[in-house]
Amino acid sequence: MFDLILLSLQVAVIATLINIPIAIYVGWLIGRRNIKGKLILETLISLPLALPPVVTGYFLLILVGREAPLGQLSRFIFGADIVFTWVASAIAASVVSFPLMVRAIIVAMQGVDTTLERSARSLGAGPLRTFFKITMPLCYNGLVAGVLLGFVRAIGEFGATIVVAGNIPGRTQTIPLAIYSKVQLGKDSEALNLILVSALMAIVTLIVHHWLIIRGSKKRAG
Amino acid sequence: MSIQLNVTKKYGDFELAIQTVIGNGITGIFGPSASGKSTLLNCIAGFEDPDGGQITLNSKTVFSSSSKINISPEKRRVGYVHQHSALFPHLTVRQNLEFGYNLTEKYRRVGNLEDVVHLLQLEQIIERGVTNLSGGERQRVALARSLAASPDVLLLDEPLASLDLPFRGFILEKLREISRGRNLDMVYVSHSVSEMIALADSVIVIRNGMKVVEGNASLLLNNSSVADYVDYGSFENILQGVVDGSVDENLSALTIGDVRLITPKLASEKGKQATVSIKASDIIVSKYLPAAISARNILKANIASINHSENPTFIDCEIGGWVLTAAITRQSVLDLGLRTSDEVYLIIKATSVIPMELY
Repeated sequence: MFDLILLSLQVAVIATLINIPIAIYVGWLIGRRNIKGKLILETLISLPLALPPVVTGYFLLILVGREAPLGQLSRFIFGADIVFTWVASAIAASVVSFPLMVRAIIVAMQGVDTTLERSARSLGAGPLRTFFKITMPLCYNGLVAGVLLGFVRAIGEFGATIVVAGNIPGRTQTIPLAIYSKVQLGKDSEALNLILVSALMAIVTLIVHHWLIIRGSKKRAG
Repeated sequence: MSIQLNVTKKYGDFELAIQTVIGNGITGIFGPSASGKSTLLNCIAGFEDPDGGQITLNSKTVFSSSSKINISPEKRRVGYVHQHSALFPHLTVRQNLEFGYNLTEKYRRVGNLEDVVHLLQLEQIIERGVTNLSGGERQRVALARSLAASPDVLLLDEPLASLDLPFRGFILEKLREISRGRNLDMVYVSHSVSEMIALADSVIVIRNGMKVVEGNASLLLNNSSVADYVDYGSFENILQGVVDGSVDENLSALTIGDVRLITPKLASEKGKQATVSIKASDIIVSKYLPAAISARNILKANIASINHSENPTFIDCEIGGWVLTAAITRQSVLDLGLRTSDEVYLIIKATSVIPMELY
């Protein structure tokens, strides 16, 4: 049970960590910049949200499978496959949770008053300093919401993971996959224990979310 | 500091095309809404890129479409005070001030942070967050924050538009003080004639993206190009003087130039500066010294100019080195036979003098 929780956390944390910088960049691109093809980019990043996770998993299999370019690259560099490893689970969780994280960040970025950024620039701050000292702190709530939403989605990921990483106990089996297996095998009490653990993790995540938001508000109120 | 501008900028059907030189002191940019005033400031500050032309700040080209020069805003050393203050909500007042101050090289700093805090009287709120400040407090912090970065020129985009009277008086007073004391040139955008006349050394009138006229701020009272959108009825004289103590428990005296003006009780102590406003339409013009009258102020003046073109007619009266503008009907001018350089008496009730003091 402990190994199962640890693997689930490992997959979700890695997926979230991969997503954070990309989501911030894409969020800034869509939320703050007037770029061409914004609609196409928005559609693409939201696609995993609209597609059945199994379909997303299938696309990932095409991308990182043994014969796929990324799979071959991995074998060339690391001497190992991606598919049916915890790395594949993390990639699946990352792709599926990305739209939730980035959408929250886009909304937060769009909410930042441009005059604040302009003020920062006129006070001598360059674009990077302005981004990290003004834009990012003002996106705090959206950022926290996006990251934790993404984390919760990653920890509960099932459909794409089972296609690209399988359901191998001790290697790729995360809590949702384990619950599925226990139910399939009629081990209802064991499944219930995992369901309780899953619910507990979700509750803790939501408490952390609220705590971070309140902490941010207090800090802001001075 | 002089700003040489020759810029064009198009937004759909609107086109800004301005060619002018902004000189020393306080220059007012006056015009109706959507005339291109803020766009012009944004181009000077570097927030918006003109479609073409050139901007030179103190002989340094900061934008040139032909030479492909476009200096970024943080390197232009141009301060900017927005209408709604644009304070950083996640920082305290002190942190807002320190933001630009810490980014300014030491040799460029004009005074230290505490000087600015003292100048704008921010001691009581310096450690507070900015989200709970009043509009006037926020604008004082915004002005202080810009000053703390020691800019070469300060752009002000309708900074008094959302403030009530005492804060307007305070900020106007400070802007004059800063302009003179720090020798800081300012470009002040507003559509208030009263503010322009009270503050600006010169004014540029913009309309539909084009410069219409430029010159002394008093032109706003007698120029046909602005007559159709200026609310002359609300024109007020904004005056600064030195408090001359109390007259009785309800009245104070304010010395402006050589003139002693009786005002409602002023909060400022004797010897301190105070700003007051007098609506031009509250001033009565008489050719003769009234024998017995309840009004507390009867000021002998000479007519410097009469604007015959508009109704009400504005009469600029010179009193001991400063000018007070009265607004009377055209018929009154004709009946009294008023002419330039005539000696007149201006009658002002003490209660028509409105203090614009902060405390």
